[in-house]
Amino acid sequence: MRRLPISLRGLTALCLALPMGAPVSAQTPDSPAPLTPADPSSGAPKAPRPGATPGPDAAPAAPNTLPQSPLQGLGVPPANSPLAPGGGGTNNAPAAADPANAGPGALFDNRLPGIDQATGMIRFNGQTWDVANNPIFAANFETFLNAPEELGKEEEEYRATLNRILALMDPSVLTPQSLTEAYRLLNRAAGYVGDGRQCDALSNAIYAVWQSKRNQSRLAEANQILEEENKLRNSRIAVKAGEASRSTSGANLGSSFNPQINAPVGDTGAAQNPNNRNTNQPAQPNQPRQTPPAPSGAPREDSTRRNEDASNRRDAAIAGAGIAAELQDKLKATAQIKANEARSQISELSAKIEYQTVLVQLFLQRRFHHLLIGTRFYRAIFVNGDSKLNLPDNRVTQLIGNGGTPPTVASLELLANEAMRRVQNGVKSFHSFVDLGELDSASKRLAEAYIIGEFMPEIRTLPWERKRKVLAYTQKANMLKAALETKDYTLASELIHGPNGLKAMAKDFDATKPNALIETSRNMARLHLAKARNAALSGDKPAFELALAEAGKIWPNNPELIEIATKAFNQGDVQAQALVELDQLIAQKNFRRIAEEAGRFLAATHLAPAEKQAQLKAILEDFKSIEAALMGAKEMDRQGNPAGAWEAVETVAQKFPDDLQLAQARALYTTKAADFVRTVQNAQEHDRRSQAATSLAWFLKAQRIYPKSQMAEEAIQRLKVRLLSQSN
Amino acid sequence: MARRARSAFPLGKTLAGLGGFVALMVGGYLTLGKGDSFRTTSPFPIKDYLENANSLRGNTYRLEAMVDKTLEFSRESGRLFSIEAAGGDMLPLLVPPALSGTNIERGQKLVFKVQVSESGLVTASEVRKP
Repeated sequence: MRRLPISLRGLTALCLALPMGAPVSAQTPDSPAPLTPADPSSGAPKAPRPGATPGPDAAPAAPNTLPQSPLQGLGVPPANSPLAPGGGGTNNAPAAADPANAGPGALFDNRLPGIDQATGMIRFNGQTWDVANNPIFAANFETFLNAPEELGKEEEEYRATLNRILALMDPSVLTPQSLTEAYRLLNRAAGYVGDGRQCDALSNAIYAVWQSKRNQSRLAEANQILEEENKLRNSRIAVKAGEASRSTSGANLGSSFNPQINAPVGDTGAAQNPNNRNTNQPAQPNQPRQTPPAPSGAPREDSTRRNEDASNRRDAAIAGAGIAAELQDKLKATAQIKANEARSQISELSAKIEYQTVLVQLFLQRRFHHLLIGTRFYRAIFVNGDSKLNLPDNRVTQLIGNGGTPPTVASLELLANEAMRRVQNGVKSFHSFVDLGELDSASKRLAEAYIIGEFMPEIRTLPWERKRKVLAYTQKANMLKAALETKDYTLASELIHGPNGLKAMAKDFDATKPNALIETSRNMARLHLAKARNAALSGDKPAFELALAEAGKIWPNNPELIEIATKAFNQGDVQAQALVELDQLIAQKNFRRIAEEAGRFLAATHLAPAEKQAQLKAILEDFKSIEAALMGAKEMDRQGNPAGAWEAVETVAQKFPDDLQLAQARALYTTKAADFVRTVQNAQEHDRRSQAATSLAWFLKAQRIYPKSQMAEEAIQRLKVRLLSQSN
Repeated sequence: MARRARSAFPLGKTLAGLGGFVALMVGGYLTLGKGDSFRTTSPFPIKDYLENANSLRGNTYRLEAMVDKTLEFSRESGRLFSIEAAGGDMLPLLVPPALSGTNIERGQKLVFKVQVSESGLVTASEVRKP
């Protein structure tokens, strides 16, 4: 689970650790950095552990051999670096310099990954991300900050074991016994949980090399045996060739057997080289026999001679067949020797590649001490001095190679030493910044050191109390980021300027940017709120809502916005309640209550539909007539005209029968003007029964009682016309 | 005995007086009562009318009242008056065109022979001064 992110960050660490094109030689392979816990003595309260070997800082660091860019200290890559924007990279990697040349899935986008410390941005595999905002890194970093320092017995033993291995593998004291002891300790160190079985992997790689070496030895022995066999075969071939030659010369058939001529072409032995004394000597005795011409003789001699010739030919043929068999065996043996030699070479190369791959993996995983141990084992077991990395993917080798030089094991070692030096410097800076109370810089330096040397003892043994300070600051800074992202400027301001805010925690906290953002947003929000207030005052509801929405976008949790929104909400609530109440009162025909709270209902219906407004307006107009009638009745009653008072109230009461005041007044004046009321009621009753004449009689009587009665007059005018028309 | 003498009935004077009374009555009937239709007509039942005019439709009554005011005038229908009967009750009274020759003025006390019409309206058929 951890392999991938470690590997990715390891690559970034590589670039962070090394300015591209600037090889460093901080330490020689003979003086590796021993595994020591963090040394907070330079500013840290904790003293170095007793017995701990001096850190790499104590070792004389060789200066950079190549000129560095002035921007290097700022983390800005030099112009000729592949990290630089548009940088062409090194001369030996033109394809890598041009992303357009990268095929799909090309490793690292054919460009070296890198980190820009000025912006905190990392480019990797064609993508760019912010270290500070990377959630994976932030989570890992916070976990690290909250973890206690690794100062337990097991950890100390582990580190001591690795240091012992390094000491044993020191080339100046290396012996076969120390090599064996170092290998044994390597397997012991693999038992520590924090090792992550890295020592085990290294041990396996070493064992594989040794196995390969043993195979090579066996193959060499086999080849030696085959060579000896071939020598014997050559001797046997020479003997048989001599015999055949003698037989052939005895036959003297004008032909001769010349093994030099008939020897197989592939034979590199005596048959091809007549001057080879070793191989041609057996054939030399034949030459005198070939030189004298065959004497001519009698027929018997001829017969005998023919028999001898035949016998000689058979012997020669047999000898030739034997030579051919020997030559065939010799060829087979020679081929076997070549095959064994090739197998030996391949086996060695394979073991070397496997071992180099492990070294690169250790480097990419930022296991720098393991890498140093591995390189020392490498030199001990590959004694031929060839340390060139034979990695199949030259993209990786481009990472390791510097300035176009071929990548070697030494390159890896140098890079590891430089990375370790950077981590140690970063940790020292961290302690200094913590002591000065500059937690912002301390957290940044620690984050950088953590990216590179997560597994280094300087990082693993950082005091927990110091890490907690940085953690508290980092958490608060992350809260500030979250507050700014969510536009919670109240919280952001409190996080910056509060009693336990970032400015109080870290002297070097730069609040310029967040302050500018907060103030700008506040001003913009206030501007929109002012617009909203003006719109509300002018009754411009759409403008009010728009301004409120704009203010909310800029600063959602603005207290002023909340206040205005609450008011608007409450106002809307009151408005809604008033409208409901108005509907209820209208249903009850309780217009007096409506008129008594006319202002509230008028405000409520201000934004209501036009029908509702017209309804309320009519109700209020009617109520005015009620009030006028009551006032008039009261005055008439005061003047001793109860009939007039009753009539005034009665006229309105017929329109508003549910009005309480009218009902009360009506009851009062009915008592006071009983005769008139009874007369009018009789008249009205007859009128309802269509008895116009008697109704008219009653109205005439009512008019006699109250001559100014409008009610009677209107009825009389209406009824007299009807009666006259009926009389025709 | 003397007491007996004092109780003697004056027959002559009694008979003379009775004869005179009869003669007066006969003379009065002959001179005044003969042909007066108002005398035989029932007075108008105002209370009943004001309660329900339907029961009085078609009946003829004698009504003595004071003219209050003229309500309406129509050539075809006549004059509609408001009259005040005894007891202060007010009534509408239609004086048809047939009685147009009679002057009716406000405040006059008149005796009407009236009939309750189909519509319940009190209509005068005769009028005279009391």
